[in-house]
Amino acid sequence: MKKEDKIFDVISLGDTTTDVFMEIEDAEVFCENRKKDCLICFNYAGKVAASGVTEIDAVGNAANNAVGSARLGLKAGIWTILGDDMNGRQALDVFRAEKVATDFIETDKVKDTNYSVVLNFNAERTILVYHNDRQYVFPELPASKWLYLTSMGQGWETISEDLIVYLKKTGAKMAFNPGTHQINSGLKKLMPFLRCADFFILNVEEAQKILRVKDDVKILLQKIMKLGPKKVVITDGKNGSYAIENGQIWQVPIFPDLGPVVERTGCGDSYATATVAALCLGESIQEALKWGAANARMVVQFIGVQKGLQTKAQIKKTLREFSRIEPKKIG
Amino acid sequence: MLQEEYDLISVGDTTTDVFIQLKEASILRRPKKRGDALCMRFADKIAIGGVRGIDGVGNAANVAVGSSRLGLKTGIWTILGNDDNAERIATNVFEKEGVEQLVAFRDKKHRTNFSVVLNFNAERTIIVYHAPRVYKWPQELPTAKWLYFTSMGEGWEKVISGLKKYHKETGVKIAFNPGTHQLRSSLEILKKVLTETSVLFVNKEEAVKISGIKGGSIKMLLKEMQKTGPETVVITDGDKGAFAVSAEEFLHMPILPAPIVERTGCGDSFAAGFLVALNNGLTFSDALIWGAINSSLVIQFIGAREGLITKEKMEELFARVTIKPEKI
Repeated sequence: MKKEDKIFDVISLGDTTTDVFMEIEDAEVFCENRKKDCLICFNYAGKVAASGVTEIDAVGNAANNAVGSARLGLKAGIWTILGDDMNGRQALDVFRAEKVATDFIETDKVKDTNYSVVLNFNAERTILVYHNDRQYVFPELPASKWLYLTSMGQGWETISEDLIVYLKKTGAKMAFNPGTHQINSGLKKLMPFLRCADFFILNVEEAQKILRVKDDVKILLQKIMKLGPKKVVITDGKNGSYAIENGQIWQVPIFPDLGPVVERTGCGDSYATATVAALCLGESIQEALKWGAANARMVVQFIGVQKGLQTKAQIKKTLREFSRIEPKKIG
Repeated sequence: MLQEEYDLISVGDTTTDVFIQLKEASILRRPKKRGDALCMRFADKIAIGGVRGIDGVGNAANVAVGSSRLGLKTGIWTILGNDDNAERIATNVFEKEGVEQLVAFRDKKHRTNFSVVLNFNAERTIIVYHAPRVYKWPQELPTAKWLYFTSMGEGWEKVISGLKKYHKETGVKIAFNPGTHQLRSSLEILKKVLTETSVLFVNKEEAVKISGIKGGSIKMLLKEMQKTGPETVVITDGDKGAFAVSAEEFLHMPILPAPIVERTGCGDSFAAGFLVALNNGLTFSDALIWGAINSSLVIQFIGAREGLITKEKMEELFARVTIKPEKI
């Protein structure tokens, strides 16, 4: 075997959770300010009927990336922290079954595996999130072409020094798709990671939040680019995604829906995963965006993230089918 | 005389409960008729304070585990689904607790029942998933001294004829604690079970609903319930404790003082304590004390199972208890 074969293509870094999806039958939604501030309400101290339940282990941005990368044929691994409980053990089973290397997974003996309850009502998700604080120490990792850094909890920024040492030592590239807590921790804590990121991907609202501006996508891309990342992608829901590389800005529209959207969780993860995988396989940024769109298109057809994650062959087939959809240079 | 194979067989649905401590929520006051609403930000992420999943609960399972811990030879007929929860319930709960699963059937098409319990301001709002089940009374059910018949989902009435036949053929004594779906059925259907019932457990609202009598005394309610069939009736009324009648004896058992953590399983633990006492030949009055002791312990823990005690512990606490039932 050549040495090349042993190197990981991508190692995902971030937290893992168990998601429970519940289809809510009886709730009410009240809105103020032109439907912007809404509340979901249940009969207090009553019983609320649900028409379906799906429990899915080994999810979260990092897990989705690891499983998604493995499906796309990459040699994938994950560094994450699980609880010493049933959900943690089931998550390990999922990773093994999906051929994601589990060698770097840590077990927290005290705190449980993270857990979320996703309440589906009126085609929107209200997510009850239980997130444990973890002690993060950047692990000993083997060589990898890419690291994919994503959602972690409090104290996440403490890994920056060791991460930078690893990148310098091994020459690995880093993709960064920040999670909610990372975005909320502010630009100052994000900076060390942005400086060493080869690829930074997020959605419009997240970009506006980080920069504390209401600019449009083009301006946002240019501003973020100045902070350090070599390539930046901003996704914008139905408007598709935008990328900046070497001062050029590209736009790729979304691919037509296969059917009515079932559930949007993981849309961003599947998009980012296929985009990074394409870059890892040597594709151009324009082509990589199309990979992302093709992956996300399938994921929204299922409850949960991982069911719809595509293989390389499936992505190629979708790309052939929509070869008319071309990236547009918009700046 | 032929010896029954089990002391108690519990019949009803089993579920997994996930308890959630809500922090970011509010109570919306609404006109009295509608009751208050529990509200959260819609289509957003909401941080919660804690999560605790408990497999193998539900009225039937709780009473089965409670009775087994109190020393009865206990079996259960319940339908589990095609998921990991079912495995965990069968192994980590029933097998571990010495509760025999009498019918091996698993629903291959649907998952195990599942509830999320939202704890906020000391009240529970429960999101309930009842898998659609096809119920059929199991022909192979062994004999028992007691059959505890409780909460099942839609279509539960299909088992009534089988239950009647089983009652007639084996002479089992039936205890009935109707669940939400069963209480939604017409009185006509409920009566088919009540006429077979020896011991009925309901709360006050349920008794009012079944009897159709509002504003009457508790004694009147007990009498009305007794008229539907059961010789013994226990009506629980929250903080006021339990009111009960057996034959012509009317008693009130106050609650035993205990720090309240979480109320799930309060009624089930009462029923288990009460029935096991009767089974062991204790008096009606003492059985109410066993029930009250059992509830006062379960209420101190999250979930319906923790706090259920053994026979030895029960006897020890029973010897020390100072609060006794009073005549109504």
